[in-house]
Amino acid sequence: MPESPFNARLLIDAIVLLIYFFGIVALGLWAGRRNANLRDFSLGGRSIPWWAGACLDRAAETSAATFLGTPAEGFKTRGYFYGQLVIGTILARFVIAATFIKPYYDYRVQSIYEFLTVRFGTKTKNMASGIFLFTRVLGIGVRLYLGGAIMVVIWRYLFPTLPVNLNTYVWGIVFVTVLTTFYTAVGGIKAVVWTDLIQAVLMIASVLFAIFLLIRAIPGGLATVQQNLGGVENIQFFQSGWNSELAFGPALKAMFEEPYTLLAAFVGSTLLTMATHGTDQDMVQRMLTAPNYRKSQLSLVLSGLMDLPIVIAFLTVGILLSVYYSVVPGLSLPAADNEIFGHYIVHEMPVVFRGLIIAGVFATMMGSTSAALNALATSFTKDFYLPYIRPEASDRQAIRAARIATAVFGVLMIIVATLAANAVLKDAKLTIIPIAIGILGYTYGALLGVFLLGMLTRTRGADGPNVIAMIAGITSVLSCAK
Amino acid sequence: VTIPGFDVFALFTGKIVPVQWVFGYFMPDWWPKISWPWFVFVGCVVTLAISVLSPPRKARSSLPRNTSGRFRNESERRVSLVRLFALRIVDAPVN
Repeated sequence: MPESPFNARLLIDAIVLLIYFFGIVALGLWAGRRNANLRDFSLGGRSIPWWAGACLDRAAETSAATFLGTPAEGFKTRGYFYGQLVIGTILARFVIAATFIKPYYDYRVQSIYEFLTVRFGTKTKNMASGIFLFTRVLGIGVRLYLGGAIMVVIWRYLFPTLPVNLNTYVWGIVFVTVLTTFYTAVGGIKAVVWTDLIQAVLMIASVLFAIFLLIRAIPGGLATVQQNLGGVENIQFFQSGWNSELAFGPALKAMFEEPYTLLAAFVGSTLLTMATHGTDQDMVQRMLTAPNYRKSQLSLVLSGLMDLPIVIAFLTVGILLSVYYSVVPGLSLPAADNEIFGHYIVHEMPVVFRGLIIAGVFATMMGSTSAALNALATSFTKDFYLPYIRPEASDRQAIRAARIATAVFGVLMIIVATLAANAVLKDAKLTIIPIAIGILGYTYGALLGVFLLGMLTRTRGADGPNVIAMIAGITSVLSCAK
Repeated sequence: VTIPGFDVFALFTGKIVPVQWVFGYFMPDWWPKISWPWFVFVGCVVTLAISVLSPPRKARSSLPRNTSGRFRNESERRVSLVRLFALRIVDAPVN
């Protein structure tokens, strides 16, 4: 039975959440109080410890899509197929550490697209930076929809008789975005790093605690889990995607149409991570906060290794949830698979911990959003504002422009998140991970192509033809993709 | 890929008509509708294959002339200096 909205237990959860929100904003504002110029705003004066950088990378990559979307994948597939892709994310980090990081330090870039100016010219840089701005707003906007989703779960719990519509989602999205935009715009990357460190710890603690609670809540514990899944040997970690019953051609076609396969893990996921961690300002910027390239490489590789246990933990939550909801009678399921973990947290978790884990969900969402906002603002200011709008801008004017850009990108993300919420309202079975990562895939192949050309060759490639090549790359993905 | 869009031609008549933009409708049936982990692979291979074919950039010996004060604005001067600095690294002998 849902509790009355104003009883003591809910009040305790609400206080926990308020302490979190107040604390995180205060920490963000305090950390970024001495931003004197754009370099401080975007790179923290290159004084961020490498271990904090690794946590920043982890927190920014682990968005709400991971927190709520990965358990949804585990819930749906009852296996660890999605986790195979981690192979590629680790491999790619070693490649990036070896090839991309040093040139970025050598060229002393703040926006990584400045590298393309140096290597090819401004047309390639403008195209690449434009692709990044467009894609990141879409990608993070879609993830922000989950902020609305968790608000909707809370709303349904508090007011089960009241209808849920698009407005309910929009209020949740606006609340999270405005709060995050505020401390990011004022505090810059230092605010992002130190708030993300807290958020990464809270996120990991939340998911471990959820596993513990689920095992305890399932009657018979691990024995029941094993039995329900048909034995440990039936839990699948890998799948080749190759159907030997089909002829070669159709089998090959089917393998490329299946997202979670070994080949996709080794090739597709490796290149995907190389694109997101080598050519995306959002991801690369946090690596550039380390004092030198050696520490930056260390931070990058460490964050990759942290990926494996985190993804396994989130998928375990999803698998345990599928067992929990199938063996415990009388429990209601949410309309959308994406809401399964949020639904469990709000309806089944004990007081205080429920508040803490909801804070953890918000933490992941705010962590990835704040880092993206800072990167978008930096890229816009360095790649468009300073070269074209106000070349003679002082440090103060540049920082002000970056802050205004942060706010504008925040508004754009709210619009995208609202559109995503509308799409999910129309199709409740839509899962968010393929959408959130798929959006990056449409355009980031083109980015990776020109960066690889710039990194691996000394003279090949020209400014204008690169733009044509990038357009061809994006068009080919749109034509081939699902 | 099918993306919610609008009728481009209707825009000229002052109307916004929502339609679905369908890419790849011309692809043959045997061609796979590739799943999302492969998107970057496809985009990267196509971009790299086209851009690597384009002719090498002009001889860099002409670049230092840009540092002689003939710039349209401050950012152009800054970019040229960065380019000059970077080219020294790129052109450094490899082992």
